[in-house]
Amino acid sequence: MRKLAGHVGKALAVGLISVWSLFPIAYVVLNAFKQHRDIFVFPPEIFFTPTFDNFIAIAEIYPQFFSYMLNSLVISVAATLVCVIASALAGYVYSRFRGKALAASAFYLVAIRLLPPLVITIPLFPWVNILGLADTYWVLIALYAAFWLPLNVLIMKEFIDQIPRSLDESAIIDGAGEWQLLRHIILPLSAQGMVACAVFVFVFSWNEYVYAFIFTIQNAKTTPLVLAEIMDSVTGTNYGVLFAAATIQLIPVVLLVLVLQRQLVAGLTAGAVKG
Amino acid sequence: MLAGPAVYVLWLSFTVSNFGQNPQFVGWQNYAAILTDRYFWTAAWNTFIVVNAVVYIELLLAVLVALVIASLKTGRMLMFAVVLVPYGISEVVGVLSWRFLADPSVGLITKTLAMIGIDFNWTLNPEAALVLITTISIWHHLPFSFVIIYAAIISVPGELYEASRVDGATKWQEFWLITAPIIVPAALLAIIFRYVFAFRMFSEVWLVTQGGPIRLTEVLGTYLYRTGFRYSDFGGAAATGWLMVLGSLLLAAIYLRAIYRSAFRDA
Amino acid sequence: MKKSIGLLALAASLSLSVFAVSPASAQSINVLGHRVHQSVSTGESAGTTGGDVTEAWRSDNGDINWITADVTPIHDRLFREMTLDAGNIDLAFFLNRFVSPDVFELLEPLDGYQAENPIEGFDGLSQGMRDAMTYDGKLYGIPFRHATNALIYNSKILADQGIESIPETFAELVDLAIAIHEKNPEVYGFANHSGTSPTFILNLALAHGVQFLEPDYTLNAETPEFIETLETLKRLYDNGGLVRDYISGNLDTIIADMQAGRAALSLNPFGRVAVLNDAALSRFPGDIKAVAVPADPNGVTPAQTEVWYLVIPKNSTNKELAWSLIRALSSPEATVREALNGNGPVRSGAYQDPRIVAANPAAEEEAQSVASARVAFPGFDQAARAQEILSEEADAMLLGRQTAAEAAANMQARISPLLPAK
Repeated sequence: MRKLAGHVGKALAVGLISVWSLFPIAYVVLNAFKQHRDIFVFPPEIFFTPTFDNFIAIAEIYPQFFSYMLNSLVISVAATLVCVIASALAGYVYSRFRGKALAASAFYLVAIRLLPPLVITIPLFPWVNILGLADTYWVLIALYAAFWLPLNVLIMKEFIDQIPRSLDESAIIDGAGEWQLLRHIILPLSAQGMVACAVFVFVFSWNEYVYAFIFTIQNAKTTPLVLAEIMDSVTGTNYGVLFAAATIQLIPVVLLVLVLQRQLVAGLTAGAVKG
Repeated sequence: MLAGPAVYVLWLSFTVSNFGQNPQFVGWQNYAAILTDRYFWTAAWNTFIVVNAVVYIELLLAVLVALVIASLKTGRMLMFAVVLVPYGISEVVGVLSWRFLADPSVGLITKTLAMIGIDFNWTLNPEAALVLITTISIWHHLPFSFVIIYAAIISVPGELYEASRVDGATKWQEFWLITAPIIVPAALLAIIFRYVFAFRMFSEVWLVTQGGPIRLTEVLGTYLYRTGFRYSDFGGAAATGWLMVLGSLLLAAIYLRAIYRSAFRDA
Repeated sequence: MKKSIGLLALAASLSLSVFAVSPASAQSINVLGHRVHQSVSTGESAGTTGGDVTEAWRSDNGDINWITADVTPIHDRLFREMTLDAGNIDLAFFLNRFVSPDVFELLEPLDGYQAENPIEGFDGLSQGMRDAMTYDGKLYGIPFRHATNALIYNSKILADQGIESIPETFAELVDLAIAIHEKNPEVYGFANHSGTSPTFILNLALAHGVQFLEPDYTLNAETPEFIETLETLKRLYDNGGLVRDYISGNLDTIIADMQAGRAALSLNPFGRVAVLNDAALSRFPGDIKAVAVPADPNGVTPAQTEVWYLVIPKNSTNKELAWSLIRALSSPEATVREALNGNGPVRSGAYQDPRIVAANPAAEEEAQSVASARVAFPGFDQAARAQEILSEEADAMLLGRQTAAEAAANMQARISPLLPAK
C-alpha cells in the first residue's frame, strides 16, 4: 500500500513537472501552426486544422534564415568545444593545485563576471572593429566561450574534486603522465560536469542576442537577430511567424539535450565501474 | 579578455558621454545623480526582493525535481529533456509566451484565476507584476540549477546507496548522509551564479512591463538599459553597472566567502 | 574524445568556408533600414504593384546590401557605427524621433550633393519635412516615408451598434468612444497605448488645441488646454473609452485588440489599416477603415506625423554611391511606385497620381492630413527621457495617484530642465 502511494505520488510529481516545463512551450509550438488571427482569442481552440503558412512565410520573408541558423550552429558548437575543454583543464588545475595566486585568479574570474554585459559592449565595439573582427565568427566564439568560462571552471573544479585522489596516485604509480591521467581518469570521470557545462554554453550561444546584435552585420548574423526582427514595431509582430521561427530554433537544442543525456548516462556507468 | 573593457567602463563611469561625444571627466557626478534618483532605489529594492525570491525558490524546486527524476526507474532520459526544454527556448519567446498566458483580456492563466475569484491584473498592480516576473525567471532558469544539482546527485556511485541499505538506513537517513553532502557544494555554485544572473535580470521585466506601471516594477537591469541605451547616457550606465557589481558582491558575499574558503584555502 | 575533435574540425572548416565564400563584389553599398523600407523599395511583398524601384540603379551601379532590423536597433547600430573612423554603413534610414544636435554632427550635410547632382523635382518633397531635418542652415536628410495619424475604425462594430457616420468634431468622437463601451461592455473605444512614444496623448492634446511641446521648445504642460487633455484621457480610461491595457500595452497589444474586435477605434497611421485588414491576421478583414482625425475646436485637423529620412553617415566610405541611390529612391516617379508598394509618400503630388487614387481609397483624406500634419515631438538630446516622463505622470494620474493638475505640474517641473536653451 505504501509502495502504491509512493508510485502515485511520483507519477503526480512527474506530471506537475511536465506541465510546468512544457505548457508555455506547447503554447508556442501549437500557435506556430495557427494563423495569427486565431492566436489571441479566449477560449483558445484546442482542436484546429494546422496551417504551415507561418513556416512558409519564414522562408519567404527571411530567405537567409537557414544560413543564419548555420552561422548560429558553427558559432555555438565552436564556443562550446573551446569553453568546455578550457574549463576542464582549468578545473583540473584548480582542483589539484593550491596557492594564493590561484585562489586570487579564481576570485577574479567570478568578480569579472559580475559586470553587466551590456556596458562591456561600449568599449568593446570600437576595439573589435579596429582588430577587424567585426562580423566574423571569431568574435562571437571568443566572447561566448569567455562569457561562460568562469562558471564552467568552477563547475569542473567541483566535479573533479569528487574524484578520489587515490585514483590519481595509483595512476601515477602505474607510470601515467599528466596527460594520460587527464585523458583516462579525470575527463571520463567528470563527464557529467562536462555535459552540464556544454549545455550551458551551447544554449547560451544559440540564443544570445546582445553580442550578436552589436558585433555582427551580415556574414556572421545569427538566428536570434531574425527573431528580434520579427518583433516589429513598424507593422506589428506576426506572432504566428515568430512562434514558428522559435519552434524551428528550439529543435537543435532538444536534439542536443537528448544526445548529451546519453553521454551523461555513459559517464555515470564509467564512474560506477571505476569508482 | 574581459578585464580591459572592465577598467575602461570604470573610467567611463566618471565621465559624461554620448554617441559621437568624447567622454569628459566629471568625478563622482554620475554616482551622485544615480544615488539621489528615487527610481534607482525602487529598482534596487525590487531587484533585492525578486533576486532572493528567485534564487531560493528555484534552488528548492531544483533539488526536489532532481530528486524525483533521479529516483525514477524508467523515463529518466525523457524527463531530463522535459525539464531542460525551457532553458533551450529563446528567452524572448519564452517570456512572451508567459506574457500571453497571463494576458489580462485573453490569457489562460488570468482567465482561470478569475474563475476561482482571483483578480490577477499585473498590468495595474506592481506586486502582481513582480510575482509574474519572478515566476517567469524561475521557469526559464530552473533547468540551470537543476542540471548542476542533478549531475551532482547522479555522480554518487550506486554502491554507496546499496551499502547504506544493507546497513538498514531509511530513505530519510540516506538523503541526509549521502545525498545532501553531495548537493551542498553544487547548490553553493548554483546559488552564486543564479545571484549573478538574476541580479542583472532584464528580458523578463522589459518584455512584460517595461518597468511599469509608472516605473514601479523597474529592476537594476532595466534601469541600466534605460539610462544607457534609451537616454544615451553612457557615464550613467557605466556607473550603474559598477554599482550593480558592488551590490551583487554584497548579496553573494557569504556564499563567495564559503566557496573561497572551502575550495581554495583548505590545503 | 575522437568525436569532439571531429566536431572541432568540422566547425573550423565550416567557418573558414564561410569566409572564403563571402562576396567581394566589385561595387556594393551597405544600406541600413527597416524591412519595410526594403520591401517598399524592391516591391517584394505580395499584392503590391509598384515593382522594384531599385532595379535600374542596381544594373548601373552594383548590389544593394540591405541590413535590416527593428526601429530601435537600427538607430543603435547606426550611432555605434558613426563613432568609428570608417563605418560599415553607407546609407541609412533614420526616424525623426532620434534627431538631436549630437546626431547632426555625425551626418553628412547634403546641400553640396544636391547642388551638384540634384534630385529630380526636389521642391516637390514636403517642405515641412525637409525643414525638420535642417540644422544650422544645412540639410542632413531627404524625407522618404511618413506615417501620419488617422482615425482608424472598425466599420462592422460601429454598424452593429447602429452608428452610421463618423463624428465631425473630436469632442463628439470622445463621447462616441465611451458610448461604444456602454452599449457593449466587451468592446472598448480606443486601442492605443502609453509608454515610450506617447502619440495618443500628444494627438489628444492637438485635438484640444495645444501642442505639448512646440518646435521652439515651449512646454505647454500647465496650460488649461493640456490639463483638459489629461482630464479627457482620464474620462476615456475610466469609462471604457480606452482599452484596459492602455498603460501596459504596446503596438502589438493594440493591433491585437483591433484585429480581434476588442476595440473599435484607434489613432494610428493610415498605413496600419493594411495589417488590420489582412485576412490571415485579422478577424475583421476589409472592415477596418481610416479617415482624417476629426477637427479640433478651431476646425483644424490635428494630425501628427513621423518621418523617415535617408541619411549618409559622415564616416561612410561610399558617399557618392549613397547619394546616387538617394536620388534613385526620391524622384517623383519613385515616390509613387514606393507608395504603390505600401509607403507613405513624402510628395503631396503623389496623392493626385491616378495609380495612387485607384489603389488607396483614403488617398484624399490622407493628403489632407499630411498637409496639416505636425511632428508631434521635436527632437533634442533628452527627448526620449521627456516623452517617458510625460507618459509616466499621465499614467500615475490614470491610476488615481494624482490629479490632472498635479500631473501637469509634475511634467512641467521635470521636463523643463531637460529642454535645450531657446
